Amino acid sequence: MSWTHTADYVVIGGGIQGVAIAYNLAKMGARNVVVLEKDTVGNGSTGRCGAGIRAQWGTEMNCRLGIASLEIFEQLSDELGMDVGLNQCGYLMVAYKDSEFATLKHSMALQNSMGIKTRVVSLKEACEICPGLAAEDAVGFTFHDRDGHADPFLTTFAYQEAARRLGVVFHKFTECTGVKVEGGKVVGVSTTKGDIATPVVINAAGPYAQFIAKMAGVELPNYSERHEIVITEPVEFGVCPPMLMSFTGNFYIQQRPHGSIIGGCSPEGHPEDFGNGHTWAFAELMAQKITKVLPRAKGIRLVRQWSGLYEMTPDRQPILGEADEVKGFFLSTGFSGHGFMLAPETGVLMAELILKGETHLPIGMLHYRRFASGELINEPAVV
Amino acid sequence: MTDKEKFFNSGVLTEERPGAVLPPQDLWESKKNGLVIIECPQRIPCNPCHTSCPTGAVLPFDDINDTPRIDYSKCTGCAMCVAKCPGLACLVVDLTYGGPDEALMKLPYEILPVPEKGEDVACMNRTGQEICRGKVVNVTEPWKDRTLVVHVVVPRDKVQDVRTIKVGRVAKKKEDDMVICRCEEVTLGEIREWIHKGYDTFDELKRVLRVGMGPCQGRGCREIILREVSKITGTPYALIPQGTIRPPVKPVKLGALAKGGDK
Repeated sequence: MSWTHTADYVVIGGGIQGVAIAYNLAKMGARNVVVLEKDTVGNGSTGRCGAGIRAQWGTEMNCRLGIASLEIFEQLSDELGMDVGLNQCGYLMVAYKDSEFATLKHSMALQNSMGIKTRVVSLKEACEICPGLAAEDAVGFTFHDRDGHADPFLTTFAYQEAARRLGVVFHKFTECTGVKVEGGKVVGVSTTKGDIATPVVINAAGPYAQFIAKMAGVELPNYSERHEIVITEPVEFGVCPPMLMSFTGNFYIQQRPHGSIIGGCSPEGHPEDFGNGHTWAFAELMAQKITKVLPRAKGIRLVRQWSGLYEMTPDRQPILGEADEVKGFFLSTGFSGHGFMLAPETGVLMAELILKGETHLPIGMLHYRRFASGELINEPAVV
Repeated sequence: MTDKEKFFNSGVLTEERPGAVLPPQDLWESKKNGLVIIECPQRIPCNPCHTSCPTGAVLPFDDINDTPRIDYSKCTGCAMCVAKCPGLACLVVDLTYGGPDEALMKLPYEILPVPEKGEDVACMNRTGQEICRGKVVNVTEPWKDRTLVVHVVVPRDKVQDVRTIKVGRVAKKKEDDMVICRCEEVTLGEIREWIHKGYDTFDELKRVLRVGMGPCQGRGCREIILREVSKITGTPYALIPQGTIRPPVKPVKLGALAKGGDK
């Protein structure tokens, strides 16, 4: 592919954030959009994630982003012209402690006030939603039937293909090595394949976003955590119809439409890490968690395990906005494990911010200024 | 390269050797139903040709590594050994069958599609080249274990060379319809389509088509796909990213994992 020496917009990162922003920029009329990806599109956090999509959040901001994204997901296959593998099977939240159940109900009140129809369900009803569920030790459940999961690979590629049709150029195996700033403004980027002159750079580098920011002289409080995950062979659908999730039980388990069961949980003590290693101990731990809540899954075989990075911020909310120090340097980072499910909406918001300077949802509170001013918006609902 | 080296490198029989002897010519020409030929020149621990023989024509082994010896006076051409030999080394040739220019061969056959009686098929030599046409007159399943024996009539002067058949329907089937990733049932046509769209690494193809994500984890399809990427992009095979291989490589039951490993 021939090299692009100048561009109007350079997006760093070929994950879901990068492709969604690039697509929405082009859709809103931007030309000369280039996406840089140091490996292949979808190789980073996006392609390694648990694929969940939900509106059951604990803060107003995330509920807004969550429900807006859900609405986009519901028509995304049509919009992008490619199936994104959406399965709205609902999220069944399992609380094992009274305090956890109280938090879920508190969040539910917030969600209901915003039109998100989450409800409390009994153990009997939970077992109807998820036949075979063994959760007699749980104290309560909440359920939202519009939640679910989509295919992160297909969603990312659908955005990429749609963006390409609108003229967006993708450079894979191209790593950003520097961001050039002159007089407080972005003027270009350096990469392992050559330089590109550009007035706008969008940092969507996921777990490496803090390093890209540093290249432009912007300090972010982000850090990366390694989370592991397993998947089984495909089996007949119905072993785990909803997305099962628990904060104190510390797991999420779901069955993809083609039959594989995916399960993940947070690592002990959340190790800060940039590796993508995986451990036998995790495969054992996750097998214990899956077979405890779904005893009939014990004969299903695990075929793969891997890990990916959560790009964490101190309050587990994303950082969206333009850098104060550097004009033309935009940030869409720090999604703390929820970038995939929020991307359809944040992709639109970022494109609006970049092209028009204003957004249809107020996102000022997601600027990284909040860490200096102490106005954190702590999200309780993260696994 | 000497014949010995050729055999070592290719596995293709190039010279006569003990264990691959032919029946005595006069007996062969008069024995109705044919006589067995066992092309088994390599010393390996294997004796089902002997244990499966109902008449004792394949003699007992002193050492299980020995190559087979045959008492042709006892062979009835029943082809039980043909369907039993795991190396597909046994075949029966009946020189009494049909006209003076014809012979009947009973060949082991373990793939699809199954030839039909009366079907015209390609006859292949030991290196897989088509050397003549043959007519299938019977298809049997001696052990009822899905290993078939195909009875095919061939030109008499080709019995030394014909060793298998190819059903024409395979060759005629469109190449693009071939299933390459059998776990996820992905065809060559789909793989080619995405390579042309720029998805020219194994991992990208895996993400978009699920190739290599099934229970076999790409053991069957990875090399075929990489070779296809190489053909289409012109990138040497060795320079194409080979894709990630993830543990546990062989599927393990959740119930077994949950009990813990070495404890």
